[in-house]
Amino acid sequence: MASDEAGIILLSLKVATASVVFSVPAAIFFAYALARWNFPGKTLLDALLHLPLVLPPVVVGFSLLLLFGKQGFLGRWLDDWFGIVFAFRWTGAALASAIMGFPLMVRAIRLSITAIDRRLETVARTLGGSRLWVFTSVTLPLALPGVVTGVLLSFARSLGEFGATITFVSNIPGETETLPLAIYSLIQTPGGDAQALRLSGIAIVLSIVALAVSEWLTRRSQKFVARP
Amino acid sequence: MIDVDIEQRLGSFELSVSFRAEAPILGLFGRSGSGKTSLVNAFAGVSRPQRGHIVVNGEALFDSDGGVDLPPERRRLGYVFQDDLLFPHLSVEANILYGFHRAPQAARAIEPGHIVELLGLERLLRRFPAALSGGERQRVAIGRALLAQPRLLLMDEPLASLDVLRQNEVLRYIEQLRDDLHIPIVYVSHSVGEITRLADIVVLLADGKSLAVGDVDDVMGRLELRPHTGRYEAGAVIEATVASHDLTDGLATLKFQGGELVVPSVEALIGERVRVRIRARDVALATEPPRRVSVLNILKGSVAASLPNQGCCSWTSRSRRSTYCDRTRYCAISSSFAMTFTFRSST
Repeated sequence: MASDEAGIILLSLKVATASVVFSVPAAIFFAYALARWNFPGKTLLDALLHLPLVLPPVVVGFSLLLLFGKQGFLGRWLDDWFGIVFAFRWTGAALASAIMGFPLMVRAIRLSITAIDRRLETVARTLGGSRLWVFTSVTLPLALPGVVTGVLLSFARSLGEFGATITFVSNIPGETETLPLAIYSLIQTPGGDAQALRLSGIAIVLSIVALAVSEWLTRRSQKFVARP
Repeated sequence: MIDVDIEQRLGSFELSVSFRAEAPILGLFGRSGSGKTSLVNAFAGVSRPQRGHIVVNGEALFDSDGGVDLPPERRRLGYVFQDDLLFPHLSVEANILYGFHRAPQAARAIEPGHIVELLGLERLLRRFPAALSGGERQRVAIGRALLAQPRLLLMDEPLASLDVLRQNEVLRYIEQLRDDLHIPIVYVSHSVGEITRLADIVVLLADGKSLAVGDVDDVMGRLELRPHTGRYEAGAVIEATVASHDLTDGLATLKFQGGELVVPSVEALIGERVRVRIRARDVALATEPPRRVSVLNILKGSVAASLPNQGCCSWTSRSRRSTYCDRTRYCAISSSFAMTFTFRSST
C-alpha cells in the first residue's frame, strides 16, 4: 500500500497547491477592494465572502454540485465553451478547497493591506507612478506578509478539507481521494486502522511543516516591512 | 509663478485660498488647522477643489472651468511630507530612484549622482529606511522627491518630526538645494523660525483663507496680522550681512540698513547674507539712551505707530519699518529715543 499512500499524499498536495495558486489573485483583488474602496453592496460582498467560514461544508459542497455539476448551470457552460469539468475530478476537489479556504486568505491579505499607510501610496503617485504600478511596487510588496499568511492558512485548510469535497466530487481513489477522505474510508474499512493512523501521522507532520514554513516566510518578508 | 485660486469644502471646513506669487521659496504659514495641508493636498492632486485653478509656471494642474484635473502622477510635484514616508521595503538607493525611473527620459535634468552628493547620501545608499536616523530619512525623502524631476517641490512641515539638531541639519540642506537646483519650493510650516529663515514670499493662512501675501519681513511684521502670526512669535525679520566675527567672545556683528547687530556667532562667512528675526518680546523701549546695562544692541529710532490694544509699536529706522512690542509698558510711549535689544538670533 506504500505506493498508494504516496499517491494520496501527492494528490492532496496537488489539490491544495492548485486551489491556492488559482485563488490568490482573486483573494488579493477582493482584499484590496474591501480594504480600500467604498462601493454599494460592500457589506453584502464581505458577508458573501465569509459565508464558507460559517456554512456547514456539506452545504457548500452541495451548492457547488448544483452550480458546477454536469447538469449545473455553470458546469455545463464551462464544459461547452472551455471543456473544463469540475464534477468528480481532482479539479473539483481543488475548487471546493479553494472556496473553503478563500475567506481565510482574503482576511489575512485584507488586514495587511489595511495596515499599510495610505500616504505611502500617495507619495508613490506623486513620484509619477500610475495606480497599477503603485499597487505592484508598493502595496503588494508591503502586503506580502499577509499574502504569505493567507496562502499558508488556505493551503493548510485545503489539506484538511473534507465535507465540501466529498459532497461535491465524491471519494474516487486516484482522482478525488485526498488525505482526509482516505483516512475516513480507512476508518470505515475493517482492518484499516493501522493505515489510518499512519496517514493521520503524515497529516500532522504536513500541517506542522506548513506552519513552520509560514512562520519562516512571514518573518523573512517582515524584515523589510517592519520599522522600529 | 504660482497662481492659485481655489475653493474647497472639506466637511465643515472651508478652504478658500487665492494668491499669485513667484519666489525661490514660497512659505505657506499658518497655525495647525488653518488649511495648510488641505491646500498642499489640492496642489498635489490628492484632493480635489470644488472650484478654481492651480497654475504652476503657466501650466494648469487644476482648472475647474477648463476641465483640467491632472492625476498626481502627471503633476510633477515633489511632495515631501512631515513624516518621511520612505518605502520601507526598498533600499535608500531604490527609494531615491523610484521617481527617477518614472520620469520621462527627456526630463531627467537632475542626476542621481548630483543629488546623492548634495544631500550627503553616499554612505546610506545600501541601507534600508529602518536603519536611518530621522534627519537622514528626511534627506532621503527630499532626494527622492527631487529625482522625480519635479517642477515644484512641496514641503509640508518637513522638520516637524525632527529634533532641533536634525532640523538644523535638514534646513542647511534645503538652503543648499535652493541655491543649487533652482527648483521653486513651497514650504509649509507653522514655525515662524523656519518660515523667516527660508521663505522669500509668505502666504499667511488662517481659517482656510489666505489673509496676506508678501515679503516675509513685511507679512511677519505687520501688526494687524499678529493674532495669526502668534502673540509670542511676533517680531521683525531683518536681512543683514555678516560684518565680522569675534571668536574670543563667540559673537558676530551683522550689518543691516538700520545699523549693526551683535549676535551669538553664526555659521556664515563674512559678507554672507543672513536673516535675523527679532522677537517683539525681546525688545524694550527707552526714552533716553540706556546706560549701565549689559544689553549689546541699542538702536536709535522713533515710534511710527502704536496699537494700544495690542501692546505693539511700529518702529522706523531710516528706510525700514519694523514692528516691536514693549515688553513692560505696552507702548504708552508716543515717541522713543532709543531701543534696546536683547534677543536670540535666528539665521
